[in-house]
Amino acid sequence: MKMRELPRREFLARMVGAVGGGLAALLGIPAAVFVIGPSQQRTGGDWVPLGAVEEFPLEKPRLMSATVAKQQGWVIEEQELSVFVSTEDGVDFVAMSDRCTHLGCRVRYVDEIDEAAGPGFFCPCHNGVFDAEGGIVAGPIPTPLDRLETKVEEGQLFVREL
Amino acid sequence: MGTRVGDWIDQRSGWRESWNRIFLARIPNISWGHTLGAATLMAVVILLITGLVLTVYYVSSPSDAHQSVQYITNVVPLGWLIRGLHHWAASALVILSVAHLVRVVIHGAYKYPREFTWFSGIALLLLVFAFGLTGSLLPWDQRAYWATEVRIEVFATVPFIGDWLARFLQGGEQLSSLTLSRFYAAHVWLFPLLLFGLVAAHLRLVVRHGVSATPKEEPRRRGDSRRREEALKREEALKREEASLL
Repeated sequence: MKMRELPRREFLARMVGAVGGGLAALLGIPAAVFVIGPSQQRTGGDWVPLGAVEEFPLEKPRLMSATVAKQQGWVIEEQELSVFVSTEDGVDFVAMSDRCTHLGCRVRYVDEIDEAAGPGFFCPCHNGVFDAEGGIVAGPIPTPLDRLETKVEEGQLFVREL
Repeated sequence: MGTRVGDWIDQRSGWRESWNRIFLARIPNISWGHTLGAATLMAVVILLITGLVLTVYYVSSPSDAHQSVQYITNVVPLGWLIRGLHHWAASALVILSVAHLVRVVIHGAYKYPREFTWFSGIALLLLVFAFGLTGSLLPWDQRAYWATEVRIEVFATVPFIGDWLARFLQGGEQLSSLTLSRFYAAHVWLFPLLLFGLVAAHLRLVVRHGVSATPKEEPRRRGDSRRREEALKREEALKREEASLL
């Protein structure tokens, strides 16, 4: 096998290019990670207590709100969390955000939203209709209402944003 | 770059001419000392890039400055690295600039025709110190605060204008949030703009004049050297006589 001869001049030029590229990567990649990193981190939420289990009626969802302290960067911001909590037996709970998944308006509970569908949630902004489980019925809604994680501890209902 | 792509772009931009003039210029016999300018430039590049991205998280208000720096150092991925690079490259820049200056002095490279290169270099050195003064306040911790306090006291001792100067630097009667925000403005807006201009001029001049050769003893030419030396001596003696006559 015969190796192609690389002139000294070209070899040096290539070395300079390689070292320069290495230096650029050494500086550029950490800089990109630094800028992009925090924007893609999901922090999730803390468990938020909503009240004693017996306070939630069985017949229809109850709108609960709580103030949540959320750390954004180095600042702790107070945010309002409002959720519909429904339960059929007082043991298993479903918590849904009251923010419409279309553009974020607040939905309200309506006893009879539709003759066929029965009770559900209605968004006044663009006539979005969800059924009682938060599923899509009508309007420009892209996805069902967002669910929150729930747990019961010592008779208290806790929810957590996913 | 592939030759064909290179040609295509060259026909439209003429990049090759500049490239060749900068990177393929003939240079005299040089020493490691000649690389100090490029090392200084590299420190500047590191500082520019790390400084640029640090501003993404840094906030120049007294209530946020310290916490945002802590956030950068402890929470942001590789934040410790970016901040550390900015910190140490700043120290390296001061050392390299001075070393570069010493090399130029020793080689006498500040002389004709490179006076403007020298003057722009001196302006750059002062600018580096100004960057250091303003940048070291930004972390807004005890050390930053008191070190700046002392430096401003030093400025206050300047005859006649000291008081005025200290107030100008502080943005008021004492070191405060006004000082922090004006130091930040100078550090990230005014000084970098000056830096771009001066570095561009400095490099343009280096390309124009080429690299200065390492000075060495002139080789004596055989044959005419003695006769020439005698002639020079005679001329010098004559000049001295003329001067005494006057």
